Amino acid sequence: MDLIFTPTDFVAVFNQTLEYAYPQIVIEGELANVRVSRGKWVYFDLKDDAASLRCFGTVYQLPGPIEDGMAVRLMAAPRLHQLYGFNLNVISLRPVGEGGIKKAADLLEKKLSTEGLFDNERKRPIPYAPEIIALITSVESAAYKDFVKILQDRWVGVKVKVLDVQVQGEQAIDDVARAFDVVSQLDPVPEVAVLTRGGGSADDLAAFSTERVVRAVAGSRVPTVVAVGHEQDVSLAEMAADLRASTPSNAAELLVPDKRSVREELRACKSSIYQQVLASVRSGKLDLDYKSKQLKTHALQSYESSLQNLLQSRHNLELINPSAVLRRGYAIVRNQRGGVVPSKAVAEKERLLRVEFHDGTLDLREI
Amino acid sequence: MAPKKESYRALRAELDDVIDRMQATDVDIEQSLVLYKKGQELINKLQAFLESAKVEIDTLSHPKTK
Repeated sequence: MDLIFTPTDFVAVFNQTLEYAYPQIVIEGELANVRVSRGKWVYFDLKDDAASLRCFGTVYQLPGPIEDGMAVRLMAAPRLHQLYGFNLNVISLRPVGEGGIKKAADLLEKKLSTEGLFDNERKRPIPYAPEIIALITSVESAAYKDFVKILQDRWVGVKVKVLDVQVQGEQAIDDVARAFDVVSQLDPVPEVAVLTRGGGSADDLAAFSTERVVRAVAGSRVPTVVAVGHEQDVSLAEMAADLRASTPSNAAELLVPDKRSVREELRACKSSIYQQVLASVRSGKLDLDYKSKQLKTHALQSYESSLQNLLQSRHNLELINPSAVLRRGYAIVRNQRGGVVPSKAVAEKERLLRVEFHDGTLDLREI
Repeated sequence: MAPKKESYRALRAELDDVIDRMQATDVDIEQSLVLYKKGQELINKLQAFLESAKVEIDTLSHPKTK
């Protein structure tokens, strides 16, 4: 006897079977009829040449904007809906193939560019010779070894806080975004955060052009240096960074000075300041010589002037010198006691007068 | 309390300032000699930093998603 179901019962039984047989499946195909409802619900078809499957999910499950024609890899749970038929319920989705990934990145770039995430004006300067660096990378990768090697070779006195993350695949998106959260809570807070990985295929690097990673870089509390080892193609995370480096090694070179160059600079500096002070002393000595000469000249002038005064005084003195007066024809009249007789009246009282001439004396008696 | 170790950046900035001041035209011998002595001191500190400081690598344990 046939088992008779009601539609509701059949849906329930069928879904149980699906859950058991296909709890989740991975399908690659091309997107078609992409539609977003209320900014939250996303509907699309995943198709190939002969078949088409209806898919349903939320925008939060998407790595970025999607559009018709994009090749994607979908992880989903097949379910029969009571009313709307068969659906693949999205678990995760990512673009595949060079074309698909590039297309997804282009769409996302356009969206984030409009928001100003890549503008030069928002780029912060990277501190010169940072003392604390946060390094977000896989410690098993060549990128980690290269970065650390160059850093240790070039510089000293820096602390590196390493956050070990996956750098490819689905997990990388979450790991990297969480790592930036951790960096923002570190104490002391690092001066710069470096996100880096080596080269790889477009698929390998896809995580660095997803919305969540790009927003984590753009919204980082500390200035960011991003180096995804691909010279030609620039990931969106690199575009959002404050500074892009071409490789992990280049990131280390841009971050810290080269101690060899600094040693040379300091040696040159030592010599330069010595020359500077010598020049200063010489110019000071010249100044001193000049001042000394000036002093001599002044002293000489002063001396000559004093001499002139002295000579004049001497001349004046000579004029009133008694001997000089006598030589001019004058005589001094004295009494017997040697006192000067100043007048005729006084002389008349004296019995003996002595007249002093420049060439001798003559005594005069009263007769 | 021991004085805070001066960073390379701080010492370097101080040295650049000393050099600028030495090159000013209005500095006299006495100032020049003081600046020279300070400059020498800073250069010696910077050279000592280059010879003795190390790079410290510390891998933080933080939960990965899986």
